[in-house]
Amino acid sequence: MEVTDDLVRHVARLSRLDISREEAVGLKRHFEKILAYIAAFQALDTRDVDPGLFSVESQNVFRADEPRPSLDRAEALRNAPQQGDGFFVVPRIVGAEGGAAGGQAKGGAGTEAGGHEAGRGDDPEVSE
Amino acid sequence: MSPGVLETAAAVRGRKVKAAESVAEAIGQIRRVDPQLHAVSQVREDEARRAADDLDRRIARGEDPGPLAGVAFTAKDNICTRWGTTTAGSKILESYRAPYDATVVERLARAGAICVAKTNMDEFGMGSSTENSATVGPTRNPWRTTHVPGGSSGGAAALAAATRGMIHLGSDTGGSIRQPAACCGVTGIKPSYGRVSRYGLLAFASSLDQIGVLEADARECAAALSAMAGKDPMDSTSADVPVPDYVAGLEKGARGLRLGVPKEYFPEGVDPEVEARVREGIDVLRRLGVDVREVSLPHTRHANPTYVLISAAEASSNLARYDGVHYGYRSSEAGSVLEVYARSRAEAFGPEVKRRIMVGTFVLSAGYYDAFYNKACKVRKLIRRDFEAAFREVDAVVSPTSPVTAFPIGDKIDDPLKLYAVDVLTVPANLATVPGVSFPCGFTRAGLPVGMQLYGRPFEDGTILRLAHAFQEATDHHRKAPPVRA
Repeated sequence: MEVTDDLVRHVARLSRLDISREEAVGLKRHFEKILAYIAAFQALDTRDVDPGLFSVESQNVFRADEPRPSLDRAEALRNAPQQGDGFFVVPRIVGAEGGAAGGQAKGGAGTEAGGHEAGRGDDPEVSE
Repeated sequence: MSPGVLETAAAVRGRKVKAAESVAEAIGQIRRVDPQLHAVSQVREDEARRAADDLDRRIARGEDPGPLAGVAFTAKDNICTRWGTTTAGSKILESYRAPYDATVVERLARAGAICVAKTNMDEFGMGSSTENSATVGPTRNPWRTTHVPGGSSGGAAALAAATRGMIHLGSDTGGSIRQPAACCGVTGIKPSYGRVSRYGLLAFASSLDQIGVLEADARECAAALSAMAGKDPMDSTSADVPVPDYVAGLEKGARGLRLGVPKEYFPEGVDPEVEARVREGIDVLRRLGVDVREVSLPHTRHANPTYVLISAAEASSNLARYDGVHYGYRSSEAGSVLEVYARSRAEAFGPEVKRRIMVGTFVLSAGYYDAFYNKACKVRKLIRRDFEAAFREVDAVVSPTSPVTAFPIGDKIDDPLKLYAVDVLTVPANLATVPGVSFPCGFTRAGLPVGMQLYGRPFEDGTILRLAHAFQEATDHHRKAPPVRA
């Protein structure tokens, strides 16, 4: 297969990596080398092999659905680059124009808690 | 010369030496060699001394201080400790302070051992030279400081060679304990997958990662493994398999064990001096009564490409958590949430980490999943079947650990594929979930150590330790000291 500039840009977007033009050139070359490196195993006949999902045979383990102590909020927030009112602080998501506007509002209005989940659900094509 | 791990523990338990003295001695050793090696990211002075004083008070009260009483240990910088930072050698976690101790750290502490330092590594374990550390910079090999110590547990390996009497925790996803052990002339074990809890190990590739140790000899590895192994409710992939006393098990000796020499493990590209030393090592085992025979692991040549894809795929998923929101570095240039993710990651991940995330994302993406990731999983199955077949004939398999000895700093860093090739003989253990141990079997004319590797059946870690121990009772390669030595 051919590695195109578009493919590298697409993968960088999926990877959430804002790569430079220079990095894109290097990564394209790297992809080409990797594809050449794995060519031999691609020719291997694996039609009858079940890929298996786990590295060891294991069964699901259930535990009683009872609340247990976990990391307290202050501890969980301690490493956050920005926090306020007991939440992780991120730029406004809902109501932000195209997702790109809105500064780093801190606390209170304009703060979106749990921004991680909301952000991950965004389609990069739409929000850019 | 400082005493070894078991001698230190015996002396502290027997009240001949105080834990405080043992810890001060260990920190002194690290302080003496580190200016030349750059092996540690942090040294734990006051807290370690307090922990030692605590232990000494418990001993004075007549309490059992544990089998590893007063033994100092170091943790690779991707293993969580409540004290200090846990950076994985990355700028993205430069100031990260873990809110909990990894299970291995907790278990060693419960056994009486005391953490004294964190060791340098390739960023997130991605590398075979410890040149990819964004926090400390390259670690140097105590045998020749112009050369790499191997990687990614290069800090641990360099310290294991240059100091005495400590336990050095490493992690191994494709050879990151065994290859640096070989490069630095020490003994390193990657236990069976599931033997040791991974709770508190910053994940690189979860189906391959395993925590182990780098030591002066197989006996020290056995002592550490006995304290660390076993089921942990915090890691559902840790196995509920009984943990034997690995040290006692060493006394069973090597006679009568069957050892397979796979012809595929001496491929072109193995340095002739490395091959010669390993073949001499096999002769030593034969003279000890080991039944040596040829075996075949036909899919070996596909192991490294399989590893490159599977480890990258899992890394791309595991490293998605570094998003500039919950912990770690956040770009000051970001106006939207997406920019927070994409800019923080672009600014704080190193080039090799970005390459692996990109390759991993690619092989998991729509349209390419079947041709690449799924295919790699199928080939992994074939590699496993090779091992299952071989282990019906033999109790262990032997090979060189690495095709080459330690190489000069800067030699391979510009060509990722050249660096990946160093892993070709170690990745099969991770893909097949089997235990692997590397130990020194001689030196090249240039004076660099050569490592020999043994693979065993899953959860028969004791068997390969027995073989390594028998070898070390008959040889003295593991007792040679490098020029940089505390």
